[in-house]
Amino acid sequence: MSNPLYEKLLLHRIRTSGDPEAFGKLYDLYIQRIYRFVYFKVPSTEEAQDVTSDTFLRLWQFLQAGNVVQYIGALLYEIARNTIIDHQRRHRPTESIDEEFALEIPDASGLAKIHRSAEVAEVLAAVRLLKDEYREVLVMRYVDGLSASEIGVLLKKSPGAIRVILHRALETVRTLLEPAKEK
Amino acid sequence: MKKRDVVKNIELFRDLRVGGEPSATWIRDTRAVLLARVAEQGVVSRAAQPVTMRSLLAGVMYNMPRSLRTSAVFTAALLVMFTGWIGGVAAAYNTVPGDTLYPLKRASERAQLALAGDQDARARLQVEFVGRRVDEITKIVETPAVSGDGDRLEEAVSQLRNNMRGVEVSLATLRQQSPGAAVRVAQLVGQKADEYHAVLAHANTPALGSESAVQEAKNIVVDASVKAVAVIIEEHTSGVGSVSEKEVATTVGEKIQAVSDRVDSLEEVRADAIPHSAQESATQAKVALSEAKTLVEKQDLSGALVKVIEGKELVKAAERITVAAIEASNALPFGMSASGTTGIVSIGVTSSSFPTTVSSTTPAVIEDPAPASSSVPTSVIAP
Repeated sequence: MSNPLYEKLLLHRIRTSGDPEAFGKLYDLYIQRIYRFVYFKVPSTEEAQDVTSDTFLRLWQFLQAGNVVQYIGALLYEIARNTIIDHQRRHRPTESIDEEFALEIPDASGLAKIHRSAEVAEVLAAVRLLKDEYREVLVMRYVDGLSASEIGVLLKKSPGAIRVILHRALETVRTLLEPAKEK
Repeated sequence: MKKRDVVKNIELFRDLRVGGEPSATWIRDTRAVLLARVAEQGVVSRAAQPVTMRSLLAGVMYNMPRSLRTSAVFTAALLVMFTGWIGGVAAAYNTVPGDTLYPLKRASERAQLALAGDQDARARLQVEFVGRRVDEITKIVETPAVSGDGDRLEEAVSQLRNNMRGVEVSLATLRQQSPGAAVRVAQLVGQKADEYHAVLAHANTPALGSESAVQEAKNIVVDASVKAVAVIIEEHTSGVGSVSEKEVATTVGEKIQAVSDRVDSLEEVRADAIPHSAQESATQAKVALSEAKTLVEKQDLSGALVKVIEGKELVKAAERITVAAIEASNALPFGMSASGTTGIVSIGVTSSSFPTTVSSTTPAVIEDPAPASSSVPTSVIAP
């Protein structure tokens, strides 16, 4: 998890001297999480890349405008969410998520190296089908390794609410996987 | 599948491209592109601001959740009460060399430089610190003379030189890393150097010996200003900089005007005190500046800059001769004149420290001239 004091010092350097290197360090801290957050919401890798880089550019502009930032992580996720919405307004998807996903699965050179690759693919497919809130919480908790409290700060919910969402999300994934198994 | 197995599979996403793991190449490339763009925007939107301990704490407080601010303020108050350190840092910002708290001010500046993220930020901080040294010099010379003022001035000028050297080093490094950013810093240096020169030119120097210190400080900032223009021209010539031909020509024109103003002020203000040799140097400077104007019209900007440097060196020599003559005159008993005599040597400027000639040929653009305090043309000591 991030170091709040370090992030605040980076923010201060950006705010007082427009320091690009400090911004680069913030980028390093959050790029993977934000990319992953975006990745599950847009149809293609290219769009995920565009939206992610646009998110960081908007963050810079937001900071340069002298806006108050309480927690950089929460702000970044919020900017990413808005950027995705703007992106979806401009670019109506030409292919369904399922089709895109079907194209991605053959890119399984990485999967082949993993013992339970078939299971991972099934779980991934199920996670893709979840509603945004469930998927976000699952990814933040188990992929990004954030605690319920930290996710609560990012999504502006209480830790208890996050635990409930987490439980429901896992149950939903299990439900989605069961029929597949039975087939 | 059990809940535990679902979790284990989800955890494996982080290692998979299909699980939302971005490629390392894309991360690196995007970072480079983003930083280039934000650096460009940052320079336009704000100039570098000095980072003080007060602003650092303010920044942390500013970004702190409201719920924590009360306790943070309380803690800060305790710190102030028990150490007085923050107040000390703030108070140190008005100090000059020789003051008790001055080392704290310098230490704070070194810390800021150490924390500067890159050469661009470092160069801008150094420019800011040069401004502080200029303030210190004017403060020392304009306050009633006290014992030790000579040492204080010497230290302030020495620190000014160090800071300006730091600007040049950062600028040189920045040219290797990002020529576009180097051009913007060079523009800032040129602009600030002119401001600092104006401040020093208007400083009232009643104290004996302070004229030469202020003169040296002026020479340091003028040299930096011209070097900055050289950087702009070189980058423009190599096609890297974003500055147009017209802008570069305007910048060179401004430098010509700035040096011309120095010739005028030398002739007008000190007409009665200018030694003959200084008048000769001033006349040669005018010729060089006139040639520079012609070269600008012919769009030979590099040639024009060389002529500006030549004119600047000639004016500098004329000013040094005049200052030395004035100070010698002040040191002599009432009614005696040092102008045009060898008496100047006796006030501490030795003949061995004088350059042999004031060259009217084209000097190297980036070469540092000898320190002003130790270089006065030989014509001063000629009978």
